[in-house]
Amino acid sequence: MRVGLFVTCLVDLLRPGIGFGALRLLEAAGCDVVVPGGQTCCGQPAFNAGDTASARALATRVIDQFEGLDYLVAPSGSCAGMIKVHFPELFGEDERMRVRALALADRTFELTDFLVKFGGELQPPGDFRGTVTYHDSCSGLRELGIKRQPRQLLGRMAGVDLVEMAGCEECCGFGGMFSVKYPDVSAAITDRKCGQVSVTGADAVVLGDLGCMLAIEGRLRRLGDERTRVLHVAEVLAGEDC
Amino acid sequence: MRSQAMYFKVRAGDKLADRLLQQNLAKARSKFVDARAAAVAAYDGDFEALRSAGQGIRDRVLENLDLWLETFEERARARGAEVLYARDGEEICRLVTGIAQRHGVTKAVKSKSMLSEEAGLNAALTAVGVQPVETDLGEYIQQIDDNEPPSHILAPAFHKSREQVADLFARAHGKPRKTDIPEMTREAREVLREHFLSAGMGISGGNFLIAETGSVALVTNEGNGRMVTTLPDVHVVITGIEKIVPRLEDLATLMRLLPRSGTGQDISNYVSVLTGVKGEGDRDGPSHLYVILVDNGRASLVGSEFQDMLRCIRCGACMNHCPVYQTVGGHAYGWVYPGPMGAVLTPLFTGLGNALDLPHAATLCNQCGVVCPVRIPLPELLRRLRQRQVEAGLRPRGERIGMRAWAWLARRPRLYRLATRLVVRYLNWLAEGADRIRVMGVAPEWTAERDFPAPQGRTFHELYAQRRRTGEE
Amino acid sequence: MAGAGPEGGLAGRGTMEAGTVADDVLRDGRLQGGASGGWAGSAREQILERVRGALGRTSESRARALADIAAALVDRGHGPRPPAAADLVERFKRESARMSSTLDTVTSLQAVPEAVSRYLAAQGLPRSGVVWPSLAGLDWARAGLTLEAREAREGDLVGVTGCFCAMAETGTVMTCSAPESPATASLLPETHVVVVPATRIVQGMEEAWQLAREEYGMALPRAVNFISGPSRTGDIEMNIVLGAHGPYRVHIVMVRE
Repeated sequence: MRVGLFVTCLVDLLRPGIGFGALRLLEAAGCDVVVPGGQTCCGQPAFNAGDTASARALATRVIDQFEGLDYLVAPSGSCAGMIKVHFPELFGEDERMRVRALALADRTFELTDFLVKFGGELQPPGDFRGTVTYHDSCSGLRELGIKRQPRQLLGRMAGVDLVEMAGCEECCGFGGMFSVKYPDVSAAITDRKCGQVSVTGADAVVLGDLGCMLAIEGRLRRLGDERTRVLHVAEVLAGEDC
Repeated sequence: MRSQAMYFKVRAGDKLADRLLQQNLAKARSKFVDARAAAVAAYDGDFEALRSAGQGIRDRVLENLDLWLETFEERARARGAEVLYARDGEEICRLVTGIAQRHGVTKAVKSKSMLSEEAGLNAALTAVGVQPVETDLGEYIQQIDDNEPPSHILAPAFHKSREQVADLFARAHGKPRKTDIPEMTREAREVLREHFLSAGMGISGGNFLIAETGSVALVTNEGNGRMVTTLPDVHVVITGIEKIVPRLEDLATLMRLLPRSGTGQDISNYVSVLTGVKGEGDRDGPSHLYVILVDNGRASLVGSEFQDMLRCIRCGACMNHCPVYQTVGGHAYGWVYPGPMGAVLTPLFTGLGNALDLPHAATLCNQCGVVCPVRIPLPELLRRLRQRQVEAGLRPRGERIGMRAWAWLARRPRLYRLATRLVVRYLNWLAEGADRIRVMGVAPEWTAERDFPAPQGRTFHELYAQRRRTGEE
Repeated sequence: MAGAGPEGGLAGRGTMEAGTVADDVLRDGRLQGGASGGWAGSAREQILERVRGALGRTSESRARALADIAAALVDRGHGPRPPAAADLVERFKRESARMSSTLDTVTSLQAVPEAVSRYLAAQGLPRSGVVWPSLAGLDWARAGLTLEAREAREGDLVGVTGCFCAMAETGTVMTCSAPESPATASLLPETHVVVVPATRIVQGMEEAWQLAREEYGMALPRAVNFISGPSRTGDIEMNIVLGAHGPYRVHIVMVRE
């Protein structure tokens, strides 16, 4: 099973540990992992900004890079959603590209979804100990149905105690460029999320998207919360020593 | 109504800074959301199948809207209704004031009609000497607050506290100030009852038009819709051309969706299906019924990539569940319709260039899409509007060039790797050894309200290449 | 989008009946002053033309679609619905209570006035008001009630009505306006008492409409009202208050013979 890891541009830039965590998990699940060298970004920022031409160009690159592999796995519901749901839409009029996009969409998975579907009884190698609360990212949840998968995997870890927060399915306020265009509105939304996290008293809020991480961690710290850790699910599952 | 949608960013900022409003919004925030969730959970059928059926009913009509309109019109006329058309808000005003003058009306009681807001009808009525009286309690509160526009399509005054309403009532009614909500409601009831009894004309919206019977369906909880359509001798319905449903059975299906999605009720208190005028020997009901079917931008959506929006049944679920609406309230949106549906409709009805912010004032979280009772893909439509803005050259130059430059770079992996290495080093330099950046001078928006987590060190691809090399050695 | 065709103006004008308000308003120069500048067809024709243009309407597609519409209008199929209640009466009782109606059961129509009297006494409510002319034949006076058989007016505090039928699914009563069953009686008074024969309780709105078609044919009464409990509002701080513009209370007297 040859799995192509789509690292995502934010992981590449800010938290490479998440990428290596995903790598470790996929290998532990028995996959032969490949990291295609020409990958950059899935094009979602351009797509959401209305720049369809740029989005198409970047989508074409991703398709080129991952076409020969059995699967594409990304440690992000947002990027996986872009590839799985929106790539085929992007090529509505170009039948040849649409077919290629659909073929890739069929083989594209978000990391936890993939591990639950194909990872058997994978025992996460991570050694995290403490209480965590899980934030469901919007794209993962509502585009891909990522809900029980991360919880199921976290449930296999003896040291992890999951406490659900109220409103775990509510948006964190990031929204890509939204958080830059309307930083005040974005922060006010994130404040509610931070409040919900704090109420649980969890040691860490765990999530599956770096965008949400930027929003929540950035706001928690700005509000003076130095205690609550913000971790990607791959970091918890794989261990932070990756 | 004059649109202020161009000023979303500023208005949103004002709303965030309004502490009283923020308190009021915080109190109301979860109520509609919880009510819908409970109603959907308690529904003993398949709610998702119901949503699909709702979508199907609305689509069926839109596919042949011209002929459904003709069918409705013919059957409504056969029962004595006068069916009129208005191309825009101005025509609505001219028709309604014309009807008022023909019947010598000096006071009109109104049940909620968002189209009347689109048209700015109250001002037009006042100008010709007809006193318009809003009778939905929320609309009434807004009217006596110096005609402030509604902030929600179902609960127009939900941004106000009881204290604020108490002040308004004391001022408008000239009675001792009350803060007990049932007592306040009774006081308004008594004031408005006088108006119901003395008005010559009733104006209402229409939730649905039923082609089969030529009827207008009206859904209310307060009973003001019934008053307005029963007591005055003239009843004027103002509604959009897209509001038609084929049959009474379709109304039954949609009525399982509308109240559950909006207020979280299994059914609204009053569903009135009104057909024609007072009959032979009838002891109540209007002698004259006018149905004004309004375009005001709707026809241009038919057959377009935005046609899905015409399915909307105005339940309010999208705004109730929208994180942005929940945060800034309805007035920030600047026109008649707030929240996600407003962010789609405002640019479509008032011009793409007149509401540049609105399609961007959304996180695309799709909470609206999953609660919409007729499955309107709202985030998709917002994205399409963003595309139209780009195509029309309406985005700021910096944004356009920035996006294109970034996409150009992202298509050149070697150059991209080099650039990301530099960026990571620059960010780490900014962090000054800390795990976060507090102020990012080149892009101040990023750190205006939150810290920016510092990169871990090197880029993934840099480290990965390094590890492969060491692994191979 | 397509605008009005060249013949739109005349065709549009022709569709308006002479002497209507629309005609008056049209003559008053509405169109001449319009944004399009000059005579551009009636609003009706122009709007319909826009829609036709957008849909790519042709005479063939028109004929086909009209046939589809005719077929759709007589089709009695319905959308997905909750499973039918095993016991309609029980479901009606439960749902009407959820909508804040109260309910009492009697075993004959003749027992209704006593039941209404009991209810009003227990609630300390006035004993006079209006009743639907269709129920005027019951002996209200013997039960100590003064009910006038007419529509309701301001000052009437109790309205006693019958119903066309009732719906178990939502605890709703359906009333149809007619000279013998005026709509105001269930609306203006602060207390609405409604007589519901158990035999007229149907599953849901679909059955209610079916019954209406059987009894009224195609001509629906002017006002069909589906009433589910007392009027209410949540417009101040989203606090639910019973008794907005309509009744404060709805009491159902169910007749189960």
